[in-house]
Amino acid sequence: MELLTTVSPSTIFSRYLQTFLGAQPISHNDVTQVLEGTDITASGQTVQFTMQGWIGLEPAIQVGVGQGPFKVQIERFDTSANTMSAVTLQGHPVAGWRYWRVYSVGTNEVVVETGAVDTSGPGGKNYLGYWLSRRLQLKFWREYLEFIPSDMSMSGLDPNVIEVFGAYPTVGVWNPVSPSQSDILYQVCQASTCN
Amino acid sequence: MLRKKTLGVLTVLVVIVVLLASVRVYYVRTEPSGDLFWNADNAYIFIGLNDQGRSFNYLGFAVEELREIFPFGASAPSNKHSSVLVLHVTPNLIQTYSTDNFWPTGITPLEGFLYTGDMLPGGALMKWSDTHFELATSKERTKLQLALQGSRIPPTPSYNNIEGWSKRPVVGEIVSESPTVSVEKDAKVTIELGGKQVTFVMNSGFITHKAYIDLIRPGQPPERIWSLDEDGHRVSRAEYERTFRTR
Repeated sequence: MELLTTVSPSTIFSRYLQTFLGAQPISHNDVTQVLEGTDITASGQTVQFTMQGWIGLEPAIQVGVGQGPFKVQIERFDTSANTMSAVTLQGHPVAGWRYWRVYSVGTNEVVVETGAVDTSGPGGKNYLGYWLSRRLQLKFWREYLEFIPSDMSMSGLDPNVIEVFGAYPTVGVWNPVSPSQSDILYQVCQASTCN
Repeated sequence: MLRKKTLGVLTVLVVIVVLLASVRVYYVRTEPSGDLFWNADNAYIFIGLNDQGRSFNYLGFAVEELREIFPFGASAPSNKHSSVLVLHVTPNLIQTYSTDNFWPTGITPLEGFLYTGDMLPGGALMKWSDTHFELATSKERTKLQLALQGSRIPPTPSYNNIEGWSKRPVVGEIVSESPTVSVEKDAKVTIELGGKQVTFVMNSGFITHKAYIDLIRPGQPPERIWSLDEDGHRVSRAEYERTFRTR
């Protein structure tokens, strides 16, 4: 996502990415949420995600067992590059890595980016869930990104922020030609293979 | 005779399917997000409430049951409604204020006041004014922007004595009991208001879907000042429409 804004990349990183604000309950994200008050300050920290169902926990039915919470662990936390990454932990329906970063591409032009290398977690349930919900996974990260300019504008941080549509779309792509898997892994752990 | 029987069975099946497809059930769930702010004399808890609704016919309901077995399976809400609840706590009293159709951004303190933006269409930057939100002036908007873009107000979920206010999120501590099992332990925040100690015991319901805030004041029994069941609940059509009616 590309933004025209006077807000620095480091402010966007600390206010939105370190806190996963676009996935906290305040964001009204439809798909998944992190715990309110999440604040990443170092690698090794864990972050919990949950997905709330409609029917799941109703006593008579008890089938809503697929909605978490699920954990990821921060693998890279680099404030000098305004980048952080995470690896999914045991029990997560997805197995892999994701990174988030903010960088400047010109005066008052900032890009907020996320990318992942992942597959389904172990087991048939995760396999089916992963492949049946590809659209929802993209929706989650799109909402996560789009919350940033909305909040910047309405919270008073930058009432004049503009989202630029085109070169850096918020609609995610599965298996993109660019960046390559090794490019994404480089952002995750600065190597071509990660732990 | 056999053909007549088959036709009868088919007719009954068609009637059942039509009935299942035409009778609707309505579900509502509410997700909260809250922050506690306090200064020397007053504490305020701002709780944003996000009502989400979804209606299904019985066939859709059965499909939803199946979907929710899988991760990422639950359907997105088809209706939403936002409001803010503000609890004002002093050593002697608790007051509750509610503002409908308001989706608050994070609360920001500045020069002794508390500000938040309304993210609903047509929303604006607002200032909490003792009992209600009022529109922030252009001078206040400029000051707030400078403060937020500088280092005057940290983006952290907790801080002490910033612009006259201290802050904690309404959330407990998540503790892992095993790689796949976690619990949310209550957060206890003890503060001094008007020279008297009060303690807030808070849980966001992240794991249990049961959120609450208890207040403990000296010489008084603990009091549950707010609670919310965050699970989806089946409601009547009338209640559903009342919740999501454009007001």
